[in-house]
Amino acid sequence: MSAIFGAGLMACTLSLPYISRLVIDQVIRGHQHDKLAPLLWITFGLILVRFVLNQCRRIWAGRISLGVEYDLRDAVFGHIQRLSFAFFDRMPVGQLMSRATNDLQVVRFFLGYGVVFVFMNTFQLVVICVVLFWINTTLAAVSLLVGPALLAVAIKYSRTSSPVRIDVQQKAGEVAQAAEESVVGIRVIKAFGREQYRTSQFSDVSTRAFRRNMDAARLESFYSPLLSLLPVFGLAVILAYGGTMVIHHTLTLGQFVQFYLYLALLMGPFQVIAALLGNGQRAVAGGRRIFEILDAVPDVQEPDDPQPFTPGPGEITFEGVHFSYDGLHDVLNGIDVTIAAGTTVALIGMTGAGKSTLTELIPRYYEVSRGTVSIDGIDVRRLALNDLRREIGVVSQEPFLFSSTVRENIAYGRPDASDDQVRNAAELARATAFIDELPNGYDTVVGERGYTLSGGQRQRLAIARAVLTDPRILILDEATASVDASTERDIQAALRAVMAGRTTIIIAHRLSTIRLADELILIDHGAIAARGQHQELYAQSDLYRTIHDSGLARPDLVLGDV
Amino acid sequence: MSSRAGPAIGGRMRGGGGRHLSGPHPEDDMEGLSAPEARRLRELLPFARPYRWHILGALFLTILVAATGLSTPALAQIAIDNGITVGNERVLFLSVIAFVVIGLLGWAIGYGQNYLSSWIGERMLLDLRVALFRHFMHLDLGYHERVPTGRSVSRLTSDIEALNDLVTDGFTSVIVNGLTFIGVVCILFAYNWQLALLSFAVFPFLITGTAVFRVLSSRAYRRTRETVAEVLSVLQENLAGVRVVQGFGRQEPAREAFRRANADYREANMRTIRLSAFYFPGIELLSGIGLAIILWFGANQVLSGQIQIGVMVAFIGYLASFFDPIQQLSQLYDDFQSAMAALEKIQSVFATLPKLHDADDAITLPPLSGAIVLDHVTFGYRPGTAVIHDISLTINAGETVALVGATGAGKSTLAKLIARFYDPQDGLISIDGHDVRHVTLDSLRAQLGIVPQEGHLFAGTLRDNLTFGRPDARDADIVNALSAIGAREVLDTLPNGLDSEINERGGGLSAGQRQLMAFARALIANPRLLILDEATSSVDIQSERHIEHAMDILLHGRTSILIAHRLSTIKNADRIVVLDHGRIVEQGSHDQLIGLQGRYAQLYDDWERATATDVADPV
Repeated sequence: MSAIFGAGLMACTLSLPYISRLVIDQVIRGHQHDKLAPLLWITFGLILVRFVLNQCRRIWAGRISLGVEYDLRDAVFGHIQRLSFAFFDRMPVGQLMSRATNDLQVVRFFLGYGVVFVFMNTFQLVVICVVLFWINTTLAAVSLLVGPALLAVAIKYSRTSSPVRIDVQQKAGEVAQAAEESVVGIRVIKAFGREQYRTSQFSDVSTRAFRRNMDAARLESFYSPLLSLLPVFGLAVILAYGGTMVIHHTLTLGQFVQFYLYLALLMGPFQVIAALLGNGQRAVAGGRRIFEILDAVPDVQEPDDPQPFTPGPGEITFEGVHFSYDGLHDVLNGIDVTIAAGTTVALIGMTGAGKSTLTELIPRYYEVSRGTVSIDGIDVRRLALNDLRREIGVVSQEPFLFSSTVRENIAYGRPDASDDQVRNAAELARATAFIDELPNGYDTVVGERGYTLSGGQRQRLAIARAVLTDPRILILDEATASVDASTERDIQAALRAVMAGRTTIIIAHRLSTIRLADELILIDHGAIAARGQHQELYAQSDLYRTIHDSGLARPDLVLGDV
Repeated sequence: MSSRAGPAIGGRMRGGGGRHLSGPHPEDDMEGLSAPEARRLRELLPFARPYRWHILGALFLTILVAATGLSTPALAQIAIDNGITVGNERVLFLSVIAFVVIGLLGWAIGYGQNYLSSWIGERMLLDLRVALFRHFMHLDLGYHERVPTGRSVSRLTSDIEALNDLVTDGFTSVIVNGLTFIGVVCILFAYNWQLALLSFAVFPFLITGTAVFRVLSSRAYRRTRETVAEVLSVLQENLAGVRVVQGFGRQEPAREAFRRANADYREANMRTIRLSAFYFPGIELLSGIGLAIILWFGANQVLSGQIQIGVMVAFIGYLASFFDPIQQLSQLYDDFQSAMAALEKIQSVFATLPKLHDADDAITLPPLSGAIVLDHVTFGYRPGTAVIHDISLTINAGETVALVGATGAGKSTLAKLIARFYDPQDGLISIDGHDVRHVTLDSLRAQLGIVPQEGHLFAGTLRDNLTFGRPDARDADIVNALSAIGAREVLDTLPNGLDSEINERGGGLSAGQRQLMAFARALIANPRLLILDEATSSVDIQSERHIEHAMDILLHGRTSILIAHRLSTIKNADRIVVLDHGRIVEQGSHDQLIGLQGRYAQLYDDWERATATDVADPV
């Protein structure tokens, strides 16, 4: 479509020099005055047609360009949403943002306008060349000698600048990353009074980006004017050679002028193509970085033929489970354990023993390296991800809230929940008291763009959010770490109610938490060291005794209570 | 990247509307700028000042570039009229040689001009970016708590990028195109003033059309900027919260929300395209009419012998050079608009002054003994809602004071006031008799160690992170600190020890380990005054025991303020201060307060019952 508009447009543009030739040769030199008026009317007609065609072409090309951008951005977003947690552990948010915005825009400009331009200009080039040969073969052959030279320069330009461009985009990503990190970590920076130091680090990163930009600018400054210079040589040849031909009457003056105007028309396409080469380089570089995302295969894949997740009691089984984040060091070495349906199990172990990792395998946030995790006898890998995760409520240590109202945050997993249901969930999480004190109650906007909540308040909202989906399995990662004792007691009472009828796994950093559990599982260096009741473990396991005693000086109280 | 080689005869190189194809900024708009725009640009001047000689050089080269561009049609005219038509081959060849020489010169000058102006622009942006970053670093914590991360980051990235086109390419483009335009007008009048006047008959239409287009397009572009901001914020939030999105299986609704923002953005852009689709072909239409006028009037004049054919050819060629600059400059107007919007946002950051800054007579705090006095301190984050009410408290040098109270009682706020992250609305805080507002922030914080709740680590090696507060610490100091808090073995689990790369999310460190590292970081800084704000909430009990044992040694001789929900951590404090709704309700040693049977005794009782297994020592 765009091609048709383009071709019509070109026809109009290209006929104008022909008319100039007719005016010179026939009207002026041939003294055919009567021909001037019709020629002018044709000119008017042509420019009007060109006006309309040009308008259509622009709207058409714009639509395509925006369509490409829309689709690409949508695809990137959709794909990012499907990528697994391991990907986000590696790829900082700043980098992802920079790719989904900066790089995407560069690609869009090129794909949208660039491709259309390259097509149109190439077409124009070819047509003009044909016309030139038609006017005068020798002259055309001589003046187009610069063609191959242009091509060679263009290819050389593209080759040398391509790696530089890729690096420029990379460096821009690093600047974004450095900025993001410093803004996020501003409290730490201020606490240590290290603003100067971070600024000089940021300055280093920015300077590196500056240097790379200048490398690219140097190449462009050299090649870009060179690419416009070569056609000027073509013009010079026409003036010299064609001029001589006119003097010797082997060419009419009108033909000469027409030839000259056409060749000048060639310079436009050449310059545009040269400029687009630079853009093309950027687009290729940006595209490569986008496709790094689009080509990233989620390690956690939807099964081809998912099994229906029939309602069940929620028994969790680990069979010979191994896991490693980096493929080198096993974080879990052969976990074999069954967690009975409806029970509450506390995972205990040193910092870094693999407690959190173990729980993250159940909703398939990460994929086991070896072994099987199953729920009610079904391998989690055979379930549709959304079916699986809908049945698992997770409350993490540092819960993330969206910039929307309290109500929407609580109902995040079940947007159709009624106000009563939301309120009940908040009640269960002991969150109603502080929600009611917020400026707009449940309609208060929280999250990054809203009201600032304390850590404990955020955690209670996260608990309410998890509870509202009524999951079969509940995973609490030391969910009460940053609340005071009274609130913790409240929450624990709430949890007790919430946990009834569900399988619950609690990662316990505080021994207080184990009072909630039916059973304790002791994890040490990625393996299960012991499991059982408090008394059994205390009698059997040295490690448990060490951990326990270090956090406990009144065993009498404990023994009586657990 | 704009092709600013001068226009040649008939060279209508700008085929269509790729606003990316070159830099920004309309020509004669310099005087047509609205007042705020002009002011905004003036505020950029300090960034240009260090490079004034470079700029003068670039200006000179730019004028040369415009001149070489203008000379080619004139040479062609000489070649045709004085060479070809009269059969003088000598003149013909001389002008061709001049043609080639000027072309080569244009290349060399173009190289220098292009490189120099890119250098100036990039250099200024570098300075601006670093200055902006420095400003961000010095803005109050309150600012950062109010403004979302994504927004601050985009000031430093996309907004600076938006200025890029303006400063690297735009000003050059304005000069080249402006000079070309003026040059063309002069040359045409010199050739033949009647023909020139006639060709300019279309000029009023051009001006009116451009003015209308400008108004409409600036409105349309404002809309695209608003919609793109929405795209970015939806994107940022869903990236930051991607784990929650996936955990609740909300990918589809999230994508829907994103699609809406994305579609709005597309619509807004489509409007700008429709506008340009009318405007730019319109200019071409006018230029076509100009051509017809020249052909009609020119042909008659040539016939009546008033002008030569070469002049008419030159007119046709220059006519294109007359419309090109206007078209290019209008095209750049979009870029100019977004650059101005970006500049406005950047300057509003600069205009936000840190409320906390060093007083003019601020002194460098001498080495402290660490006696802190709070005298009738009142503070609230928002005016009218005080979080701290009229608190007076004296902390002796070397004393360990624990702050206790329910969530929201004002414990962290009080600690932040002492570290001067905020200034109280009323009252006075002094350390060793120095009002904290009259000492330099750097010297205050250099003697102050804070371990916050969240252990943020930076990308870089573990060593860089641990020595963040004291860059000259030796490896032995680091290992000692790690051993003291029982985190020595964390080092052994990392592949490259202290040289292991840590990333944003801790890179292989668990939440607890990150907090341990944050703790070690504060110890290595060896501050006179230590504030631990829930510093050990995420570490396991055993590590916390280690830390507690280490603390006995570490706190010795330092003034320390502890905030902890686990009351076991604070029982050994010299003094416990109980806060409730921003007021001190009790203070004294653990035993005294228990004996008092007041608020603390109740808190302790609550806590003890809740955490019956968690009591560290007998009461």
